[in-house]
Amino acid sequence: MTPVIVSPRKTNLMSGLMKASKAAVALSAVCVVAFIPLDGVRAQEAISFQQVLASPDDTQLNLDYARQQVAAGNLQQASAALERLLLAQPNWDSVRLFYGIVLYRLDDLSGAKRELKLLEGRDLSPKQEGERRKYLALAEQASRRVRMSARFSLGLRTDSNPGRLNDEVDLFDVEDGPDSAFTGASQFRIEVDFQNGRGDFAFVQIGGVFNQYFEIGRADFAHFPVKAGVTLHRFGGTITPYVLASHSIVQNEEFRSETGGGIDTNWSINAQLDWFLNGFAQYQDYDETSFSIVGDLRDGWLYGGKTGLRWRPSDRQTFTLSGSVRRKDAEGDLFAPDGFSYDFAKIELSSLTLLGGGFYLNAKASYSQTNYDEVDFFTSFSDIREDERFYARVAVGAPLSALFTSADIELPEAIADIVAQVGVSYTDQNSSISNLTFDNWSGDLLFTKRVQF
Amino acid sequence: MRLFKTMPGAKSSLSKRFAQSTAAGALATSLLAQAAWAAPVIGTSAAVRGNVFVTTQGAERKARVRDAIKLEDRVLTRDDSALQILLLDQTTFTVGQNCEMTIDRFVYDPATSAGTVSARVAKGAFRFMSGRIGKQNPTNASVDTPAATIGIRGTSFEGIVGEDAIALAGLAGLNTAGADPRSASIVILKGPGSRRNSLDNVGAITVSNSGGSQILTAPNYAVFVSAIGAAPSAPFQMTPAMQDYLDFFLRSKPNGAPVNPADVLDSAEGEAGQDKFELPEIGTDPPAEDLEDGLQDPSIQIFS
Repeated sequence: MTPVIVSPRKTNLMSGLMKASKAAVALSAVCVVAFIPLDGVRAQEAISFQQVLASPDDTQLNLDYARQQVAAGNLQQASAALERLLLAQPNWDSVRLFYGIVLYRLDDLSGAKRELKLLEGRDLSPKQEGERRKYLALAEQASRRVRMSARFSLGLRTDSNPGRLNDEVDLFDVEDGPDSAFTGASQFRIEVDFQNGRGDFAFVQIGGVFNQYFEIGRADFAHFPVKAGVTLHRFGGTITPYVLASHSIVQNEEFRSETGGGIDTNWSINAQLDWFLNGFAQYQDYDETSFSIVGDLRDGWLYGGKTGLRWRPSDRQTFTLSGSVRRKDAEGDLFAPDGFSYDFAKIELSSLTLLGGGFYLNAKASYSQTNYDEVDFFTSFSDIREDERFYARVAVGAPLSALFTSADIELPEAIADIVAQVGVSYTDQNSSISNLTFDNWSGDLLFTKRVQF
Repeated sequence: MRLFKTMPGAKSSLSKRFAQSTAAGALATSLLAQAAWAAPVIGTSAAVRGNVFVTTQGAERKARVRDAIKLEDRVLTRDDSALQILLLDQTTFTVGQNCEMTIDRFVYDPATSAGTVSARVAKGAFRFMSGRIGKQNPTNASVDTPAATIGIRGTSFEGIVGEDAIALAGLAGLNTAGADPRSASIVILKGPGSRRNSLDNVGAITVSNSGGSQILTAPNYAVFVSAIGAAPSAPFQMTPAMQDYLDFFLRSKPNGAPVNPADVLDSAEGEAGQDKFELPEIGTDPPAEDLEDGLQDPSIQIFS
């Protein structure tokens, strides 16, 4: 076994400043894009609640107010305005249909079904009747005790450095350079409602993720997780204990199996602020592969926790700040009993913005450190592996129907709700093992179809 | 801190009363007016159907749209009648026929949305939807029925007090023996639920009295309290028949030819924004960070 080239970590002042400035730029971008103006809503003259208080019987004012509240994501206020209109105009069928769908969005399924059923046999346009039937069926499905859903995502990605290679290290006969890949993800989920008035339910979900490059095979992988648990609403929050198992394939070879469990909790501090606290433990069982002899030296328990705050300053914006730690206790061998054991810490800031018109913007930036316990002799004879990583990602998505609206093209129902997402990611890893120092730009285009049974 | 925002027109109404008072009754009228002035305007009658009466300090009047609603006003609805009240903090009360309700506490600071709101429902059916106070100060919004107190956390719910509550409980198959027709209450959570298509928090209510308490966090579930001091029942799911019963009191239904008094889009889905609401799917972002140890192995092994 030949040792790899080892270089001291870039801990000098210049490197630190560069990394800090990268982080600052990325985090600024997260914040700036999160506050970009929302569609039309702000462009229109806003109707204040004071105006509604002064003229609660003004039909046009209340209708416009309901639309404004929908656009702002405040569905409860919208439903109150529509209810007001219907008290005064019970035969306003198009507003009743509007109201029924708003109730569906609020998960008031019995209310939605009631309004939509009242419209049966009324003189609706073919389009309205189609929507009435569609949302009545959706509300019926969502009301069932056993609910099934699935999603399928398929797309393309391209990476500047798919092999995660250090450009400054001259490697022979290595697949290098940019490459593109097919990528995909799917999940099938079953939920069974406990029907106890708290919304508690049990769930099982099976998923799959894959990445298959056109030319460079070393970064190909597939991952198949299975997870089962219950979500309980207790003590003012939600508690989700679960068990999981997963199997991973790298370069078409069996790579790792995991079994374990964890608990996710979420607590509402106030209307704008949630606190979440998660913990997990899982046993990782590695296989030896043709590209790595490490194999079962990495076997062992991985456990950790994550906590953070989710802040929702408006009905269309959330920010999440989280910190997580992990501890891996690998079995190692006689020569390096803790060579594959490590501590991991990460801080992440993410932002989700509903831009309006069906568009969302998801941005995140994270910084993490992984510090191994001792030399593992696989990567180096003398240096302990220490990695620090900066990661940033921005993704924009929208259903195809929204994308084609501007072209005045009405898509068939089956494809109109497929969500197209474009994302750009940047990863910069700095390691005490110079071969493991790399950066990578990645772009991806993903189409996702969701189905409910 | 008691911060009230006064409705436009409240002073002019007061002046009118002063002008109409006789000399002989000036002192008494003045005192009464001052007392009336002390009851601040806290909202407005936003929609009125049928015969609805509002009593302000003993003086009953028929409610009309745009009437000011004051603290401690007693609202009484007759057969086939309903009223929607908008409070200054955007709280919405809808009361159905044969309902008696009083808003007995309202403190609101518009600058911070801090405050308190509470109401008493003596009988009849009602719907409550949280405004800014209920969202910002979840423990400061409540509704009292004779048999229970409902604590509200950013949500909408419905309730019914009296004989109809017992009838509804009977439809649910609950034991109604010993239920008090004057105080029996049913409370139903409406949402937002956990499968909402919005960024709203999930709503919750706590139904409690000296006999115990129950929490509801799932829409369309209800709790029955049979009498003062009786323990709230376990949550139960509303059946369509029960909801129909309640809807009769609280919701409108078509009764004539369709109308369209203002321009509404042909697509209600578009109006409601459902076709434009998307959240990113979790678990689809490439690549799996947890596989990095394997993905980077070749960078080492290449030298072996």
